[in-house]
Amino acid sequence: MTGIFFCTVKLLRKDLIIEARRAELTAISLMSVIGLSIILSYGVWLAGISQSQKIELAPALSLSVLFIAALSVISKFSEYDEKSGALDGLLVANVSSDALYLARVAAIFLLTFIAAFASGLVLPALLGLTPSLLLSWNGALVFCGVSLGLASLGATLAPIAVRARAGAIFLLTLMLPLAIPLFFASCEVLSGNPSTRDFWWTLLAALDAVYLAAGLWLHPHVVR
Amino acid sequence: MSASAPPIQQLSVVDVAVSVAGHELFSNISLSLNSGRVLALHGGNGVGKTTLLRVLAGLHRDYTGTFVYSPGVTVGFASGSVSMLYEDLSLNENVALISNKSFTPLLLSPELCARPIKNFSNGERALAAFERMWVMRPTVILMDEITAPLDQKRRTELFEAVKTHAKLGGSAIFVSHEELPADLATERLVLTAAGLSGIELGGSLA
Repeated sequence: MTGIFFCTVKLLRKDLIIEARRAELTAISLMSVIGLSIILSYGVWLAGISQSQKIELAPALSLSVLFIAALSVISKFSEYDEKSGALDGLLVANVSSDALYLARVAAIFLLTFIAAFASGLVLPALLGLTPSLLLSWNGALVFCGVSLGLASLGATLAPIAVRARAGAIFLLTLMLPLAIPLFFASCEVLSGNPSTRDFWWTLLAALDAVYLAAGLWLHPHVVR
Repeated sequence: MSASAPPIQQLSVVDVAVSVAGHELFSNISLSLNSGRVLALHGGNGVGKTTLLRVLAGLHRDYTGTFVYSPGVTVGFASGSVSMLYEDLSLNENVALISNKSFTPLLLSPELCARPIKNFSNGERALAAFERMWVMRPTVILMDEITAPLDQKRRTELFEAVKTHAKLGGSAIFVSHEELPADLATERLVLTAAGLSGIELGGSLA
């Protein structure tokens, strides 16, 4: 167990060093967040939506932005592994598949969470709302939950999609049905009926646990 | 591993066949690899030499037949065309991902090992791939066109390293289009769609 932990930390550090040198994924996800936030805010402004409706709508818009940002990060990570053949190099050196998976989940989670934080700042500002709406403890926990779920799904499914023809569309097709429950659960936690909030919290946590466990089980088969 | 030990079977391959998109690439591949042996695997372009090595390295799972490494035998794989290294990391950083031991390069200079792989020439990349495989000290080493981009000096150094490895009881398979030195290869195999045909060279390693 200690071995897997240290190996995971080493592999996560590798992903972060590469990202620090390339600065590609952070830029892509932040540009996605800013671009989509501008487009969505313009749509909201055109529709003449009232301030109270905007408050209700903001979490769903912010989570949509987050989903797109996460997708771009996920597919780029796998493309990079595939292009250099480096993943094969790690596999042939018998690096733990669990560590590979957990490190990738952690890396996607961190970058997605940065995007979530950015969307929590940019979107409310463009909608004329206070950023505290999405940057509360409650909001931060929900974004953590969504980011973890998306990272678990992405780390499992992206290695399949990257080898397929039209990989980006394939990844979207694979992820969408599984990500939608995450999306609804998190929207309901943030802006739904307070009396059902506990149920949606439980569902969000359960989805995270199932996706993470399923990923751990599937990943060795997927990368081989 | 010692020089005086009798040959021990390290790898046994029985009836391995690979098909790609419904087309049979090769079939009836059977061979055994003993300690101290260095096989030179030749064959035309596209006959599946690289695929066979990837099968034996555990990187290509779509095959029929069986291959077994003896207990305690470890395998390493290095390619001259795909370095299998993270290009934005240095060789030192790549090695640190797979080994906790301190890394002393065999063929590359320590200064070069600290630079990102993306700045390497093709020959340096091939050597980096070899170095990374070598650090794990595998029993069986599989090399795919590793010498093609190397100059004569580096090639000789690499051959010497493999020769020492074989003398110490390891074994190797070289995929190459060029002839290996007479004192290195103990057997020469030619891969065709129908299988392997071989010539015992009786090298002077043992």
